[in-house]
Parts: sequence; C-alpha cells; structure tokens
Amino acid sequence: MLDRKITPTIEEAVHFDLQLKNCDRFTLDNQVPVYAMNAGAQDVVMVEWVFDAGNWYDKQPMVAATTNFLIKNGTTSKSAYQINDFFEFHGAY
Amino acid sequence: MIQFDRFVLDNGLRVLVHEDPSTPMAVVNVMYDVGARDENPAQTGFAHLFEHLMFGGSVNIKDYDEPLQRAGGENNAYTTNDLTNYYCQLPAQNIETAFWLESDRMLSLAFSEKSLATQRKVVCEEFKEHYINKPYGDVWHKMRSLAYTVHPYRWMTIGKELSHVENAKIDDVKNFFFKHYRPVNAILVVAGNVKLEQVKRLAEKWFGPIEMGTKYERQLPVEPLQTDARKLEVEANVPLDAFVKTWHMDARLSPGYYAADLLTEILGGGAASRLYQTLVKEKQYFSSIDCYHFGSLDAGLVAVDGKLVKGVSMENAMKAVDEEIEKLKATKIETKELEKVINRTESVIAFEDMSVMSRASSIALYELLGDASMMNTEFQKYQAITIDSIHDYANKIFANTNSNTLLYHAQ
Repeated sequence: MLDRKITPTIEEAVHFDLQLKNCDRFTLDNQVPVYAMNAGAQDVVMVEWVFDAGNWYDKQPMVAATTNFLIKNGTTSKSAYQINDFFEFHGAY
Repeated sequence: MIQFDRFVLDNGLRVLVHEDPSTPMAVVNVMYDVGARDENPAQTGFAHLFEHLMFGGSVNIKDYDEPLQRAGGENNAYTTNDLTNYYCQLPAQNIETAFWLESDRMLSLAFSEKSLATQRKVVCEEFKEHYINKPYGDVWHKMRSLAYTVHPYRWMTIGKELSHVENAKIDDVKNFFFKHYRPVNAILVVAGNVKLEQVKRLAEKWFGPIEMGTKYERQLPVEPLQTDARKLEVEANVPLDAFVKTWHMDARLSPGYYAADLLTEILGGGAASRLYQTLVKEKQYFSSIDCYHFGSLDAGLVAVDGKLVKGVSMENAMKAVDEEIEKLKATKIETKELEKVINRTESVIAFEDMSVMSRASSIALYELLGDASMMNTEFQKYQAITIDSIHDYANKIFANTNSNTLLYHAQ
C-alpha cells in the first residue's frame, strides 16, 4: 500500500554533476570578440551584441536608455519603418 | 517535429511523455479541463480561486512549495477562461517528488477552512488591485459583458463580482474540486530528461490509485450571431482617453481562427505593423495601439485597443482606426505582407519550442483540443492561408454589425 506521507528521496543539488556546454571563441579582424554556441535541436539563432555602454556611462540620467531605444528608430540611411519591417519580415524580434 | 508517447491509465488520466535528454531537467505539467467558462454564473471566479487553493496543502502533504524547493524545483500555474494548468520543473533525478506532490493534490486537497479564508482574501485583493483600483482595470469586465450575451466568456477569470469569491463556502469548493479535478478530466505531460518506462511506472504508482471521477460533459450556451453594432461609453478617473473595439471571430479549431490570428499580426504585430505605423508614428493620434486575440477555444474576439495622445478627439481617433480596418477590407494585402506575418508566426512557434516547459504545456493544450499531434501540423494551417482567404475573412468579421466599441473617457 502506497504511503503518501513518506517523501520520496531527494537528491541534494550540490551532488549534481552539471556540465555547461563549451563555447567557441574567436576574434574578428576589428578585434571584436565573438562567442558562439551550437545547442539544442531548434532551427533558431539568437544573436546578442554587448556594448560597454550602460547606465554607468550616463553623464545625464536616461541617456543610455534613450540611445538604446533609438537603435530601432532610424539610421542615416534607413527609416524606423524600414528597419522594423526588415527584421519583422525575417521573423526576428 | 516534437516526438511524444501517449498512454492512458485505467482511471482515464491521459499521460504524454516527451523525452529530451539534452536537458538535465524534467517538467511535470498537469492540465485540468476546466476554466472560467465552466463556472456557475452565480459563482464565478471559482476556477481561478482553485488555482490558489491548490497551493494551500493537500490531503497528505501540508505544504507544496517547501519539498519542491528542496528538490531544486520551481512551479507555477495559470487559469484561463478555457483551462487550468499547473506545472513544475525540477532536476530530473528528483522527478518523483513532483509525482508525489501533484498526485496528492489530485487525490484531494486538504480543504481547510483556514486555507480557504486566506486564499479568499488573496483573490479578493487581486480583484481589487487589478480590476477595481487600477486605471482602466474594468475595461475587460465591461467589454466581455458587452460582446457576450449568453456564453460564459461574458465574465473574466477573476470572476464577475467580488461577492462570488467573498461568499465561497467550503462545500462549494469541494463540489467544484470533485467535479472537475478528477483523473478523467486531466492531462499529465512529463517532459525532459525522462524515459517512457520510468514515467509509466511512476504514473501508475502515484496517479493510478486515484478514483476516476465522472467525465465532465461540457454543454455551454452558444453565443447567437451579433446583428447590431454595440457601443458603450464610460467616464473614469484615468490619465488618458482610451478605447477597445472587438469583433467576434471563429473558435480555436476553425480555419477562420488562423486567418484571424494573421489579421491581428498585420494590424498590430510589431513596430512595422499597420496600426502602429499609421496611427502612432505618422498621424500621432495614439501613444500606444495594439491588435490581438486571446486564443480562446470557443468563438473568441479580435480586439484593437489604444490610448489617445492628449488633445486628440475621440471622434478623429476612432475614424482613423476605422479607416485602417476599411483599407484591409477594400484592398487585398501584398504577397510580401502575407509572407511577413507567416514568417513571424513560424518564428514564434520555433522560439516557443525552445523551452521544455513550453513544449510540455503545448502538448497538453493540443491533447485537450483533441489530439496532441496537432502540435506538429499547426504551422501548416498558417501556410494554407492565402491572400484571398485573409481578404474574405477580414470582410466577414470586420462588419460593423459584428463590432463592440467601448470608449473610455478621462474625466
């Protein structure tokens, strides 16, 4: 007879042997470091660009956040609509 | 292509197993075939109240969260108008803890007066915080009761009235539980670093002894075809004028559902969508505007909602919205726009499938809809949508007689 008052044995998390997958690392000609990892079976790609440009560098409040917001709001050669439409067409978000 | 195996226990519990050895985790997902649409109109909010009570202790286990956390797990749940879903994720080595916890609350809750009193208060506060005190908080209460006259989608999952939850008695709660939370009305999905044989053994051991219960036969009133435009104007202490407009759309498994889904993408999906580009960026009538639907299993609603820029008249703003809708009815969309919304949909499906937790809940949802393998053919249904079917569907649903408008004026 099943005794539901008895807790199944719990293996403590400290005993787990968890290995993170290794990533490839290389440097572009302009010295930008790139880290890449091929993981999972899904047919998707995720790209992140990390800049040394956070709140730490703000000379006035909100400048970093506002600059970030403007990234998708037009460049010297493309309007906000063109940029958004391009990325949305390719299913990127 | 998501692989899974399926078996049914003698008590009617459907079990689906999705093996994914690439993760060290396991997910245990229990979906109950009960949502706010199954509530008695005089006792609304019960399905959601239950979501809270399910964490107030079960018949043999005083506290759900503590042992789960000790096993390295986390959990949550949600209630919709259609269904209730409970899920937890933990290291695969400790999966039996999840079977122990989930099966005990399916066996029976503790039904303590203290837990009911606590959760009643929590839910009442949630009602007040989000739907009474919050600016625009009552919009969907008003919209649902405007758009639906008989179908239980006319109330929200939080409940129609605060008093229904305030007056909930322990016997009402027990009856609701033993009517809906039985193995025969539930779907168990186990996913991640697990093996079919292991899941079979654990499911038999922990869920097998639970009494089957009676299969719930859903018989909901069908909403009659709307034949006249409906409109409601309210005034409240909110910062900006706002509106919501809805149109009735088809049920989840109808071909019309997929056309409606793509229409909401054309109008409101992303910063290059029609409504945002025209009404926020170019005309600057709105500070925000969205178009969406709820993925309802019965016939649902397509909604457009927006907040007006201060100084813009409601009349001009609504005229501009109607013009965009009329454009969609008058002129067929270009191939490129159709490709774009289908690409976006493919991307959403692919990204959703990345997480094992979200794969588990999708398998459960499609099983609830009748066949879990529909998960793998879902995208084909979008690919079958053509420029003409989008055009026909836009003309079908965006008829004025099918519309409900709520104008929300700032005092």
